Amino acid sequence: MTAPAGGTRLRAEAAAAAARLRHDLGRYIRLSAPRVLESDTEKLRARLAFDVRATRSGESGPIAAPEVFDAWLREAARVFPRSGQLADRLAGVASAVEEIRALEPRLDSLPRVELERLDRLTREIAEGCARLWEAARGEGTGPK
Amino acid sequence: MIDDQPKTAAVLARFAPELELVEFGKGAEARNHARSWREAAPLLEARRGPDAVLLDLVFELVDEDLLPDERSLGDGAAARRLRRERRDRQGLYILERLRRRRPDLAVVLTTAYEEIPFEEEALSLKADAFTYAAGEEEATGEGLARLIRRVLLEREAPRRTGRFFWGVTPAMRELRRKVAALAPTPMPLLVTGPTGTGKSLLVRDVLHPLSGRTGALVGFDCATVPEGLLPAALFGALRGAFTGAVADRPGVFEAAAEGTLFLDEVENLSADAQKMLLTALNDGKIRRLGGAAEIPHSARVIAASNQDLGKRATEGAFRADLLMRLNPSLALELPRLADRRADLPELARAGLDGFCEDARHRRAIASLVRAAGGREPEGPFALAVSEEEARRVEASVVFVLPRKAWKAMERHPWPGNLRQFEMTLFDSLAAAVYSGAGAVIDRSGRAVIALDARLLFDLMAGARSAETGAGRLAFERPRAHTVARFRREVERAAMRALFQEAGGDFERMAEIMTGSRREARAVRLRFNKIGLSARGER
Repeated sequence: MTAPAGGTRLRAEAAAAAARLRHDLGRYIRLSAPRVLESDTEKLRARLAFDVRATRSGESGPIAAPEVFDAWLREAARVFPRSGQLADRLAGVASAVEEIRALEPRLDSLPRVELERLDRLTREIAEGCARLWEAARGEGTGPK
Repeated sequence: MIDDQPKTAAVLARFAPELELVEFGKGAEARNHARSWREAAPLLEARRGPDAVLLDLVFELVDEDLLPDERSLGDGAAARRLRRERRDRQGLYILERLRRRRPDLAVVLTTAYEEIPFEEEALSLKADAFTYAAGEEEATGEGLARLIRRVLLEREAPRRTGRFFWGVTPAMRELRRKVAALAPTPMPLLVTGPTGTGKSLLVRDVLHPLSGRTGALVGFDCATVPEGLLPAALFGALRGAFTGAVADRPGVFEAAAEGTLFLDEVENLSADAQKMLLTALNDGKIRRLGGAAEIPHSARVIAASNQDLGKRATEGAFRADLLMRLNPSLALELPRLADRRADLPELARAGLDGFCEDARHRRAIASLVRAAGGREPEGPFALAVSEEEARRVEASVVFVLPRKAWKAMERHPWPGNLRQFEMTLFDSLAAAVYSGAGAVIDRSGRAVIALDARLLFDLMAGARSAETGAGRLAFERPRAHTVARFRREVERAAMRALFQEAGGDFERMAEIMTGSRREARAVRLRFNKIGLSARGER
């Protein structure tokens, strides 16, 4: 059965939007991450501050990771289904973003254990964005 | 760096401080990245351009900064969609512009091929020998720095090692990486690839010299030694071991002590010899024929084959355990020439260099130039692959491959690969130099020697005949619902095959078909009548 033209276009738009999220958030949120976690706590804090608080830049300066996600969601939410695999994967990313949103204001004083938690969340987001893109691409190109 | 975001440049400066990122803008506006094509373009016109370009994919820019036409898109849903699409593929638009000006500049995409949501473009980028994409391992600044260092090293690396020409195609880049990692190791290696791709040259001019081994390179062609003599030739024999063994004699294993033993066409080893070779590789010892003593050996074994040894092992024609010992997963595979067409111009120039290395040929060229009224040639000889290029080349002697012939050479399948390409070029150079066709001295005093296009077509047609059998055409069997339709499709397929064989030259096609070039017009008319067009087929 052929999908309606509108449905096909939405799926293609979802795939493009997922690619963009992977690019804008998934990649930039760990751009400074070294292969081995910093043993120096202050270095770890500085790196996380750079990647989480200045994930991208706009006209008015640095944009933090949660804001990058929010801006993306405002534009992309309409093309994602409300249930199913894509919705689940998007919810996974959103949940990690919310945790970061809660931790980020205290970043300057977080103890090491919480900084490591923050680092894991950035990894979860990077991997979650990759999985979302894979799922969206699969749906965008039809059944395999 | 061309990226709308400053972050990658900042991170890269930290992980690769030795890289010099080009500055854009002045004073307080100075940045080490260009935000758009508009900002980046002037740099490419500079006398000393960058060594490489780092390019992002998505650019969140205003309409007026967005390629392809840098104009306002207005409002409305359609405009928003178009804007989004332009932003998402802006890196690809920039790359397209960049390639028009600098086709061979190294471009590193900060996005993996798999992440590019436009599959067709991603595929064509993979085929671009000068574009590199950051894979999963290179998604962070640290990984990206590693990738850029590797790209720059690769760009600086000489195009040839000895007489072995690396070229720039992705398959050869991959081979080079593997060679760099494997050449210095003592492990046995397998070199694979169709006939004529340069397997022996790779071993002789690259693998052995890079191995750091102090012993000699000893080549052994497994196809030329009679089966019964193989064990003695490989491992040596004691006096009286067989009729005619009048003295103790070492084999090639011992001759290659501390060096490299190159077993060419290894698939021709007999079952006995395969077994003995396996034992030698496993134990590090050999036994001369007729002897009981085990002799330790120190030769590094490199085997070469143009066959699918995995398939032969499945069929029982080659020992699977010997194949495993030759590390097939690390096999160095040489690509067909048809898969490295981007290398053809440089290979042709290298062919001229090889031709001119022979003092007799140089003397013949000098005599040709003098006969045409030119000065004794000094300085470099050059090869141009079109008449237009010949006008731009700076050299005392310029050989010109007619554009039509070169286009046919680019399309030719070259079943005999590199060896056949070099022989074709060599023969046409020799014909131009020795047949007395003559040189022309142009206004700037250069001697211009044109290669004979018809001869090149003939040489290529000969090569095709060798592949398909003299006088035979090869094409896919057409499918049709009726006999009449089948007959028509067979004619179309045959015409197509002939057109390719003749390099798109109707006179040549007529000659192949009828023995006379005079029928060219009739051939062309028929060609068009059955629904083919020369432009479409080219």
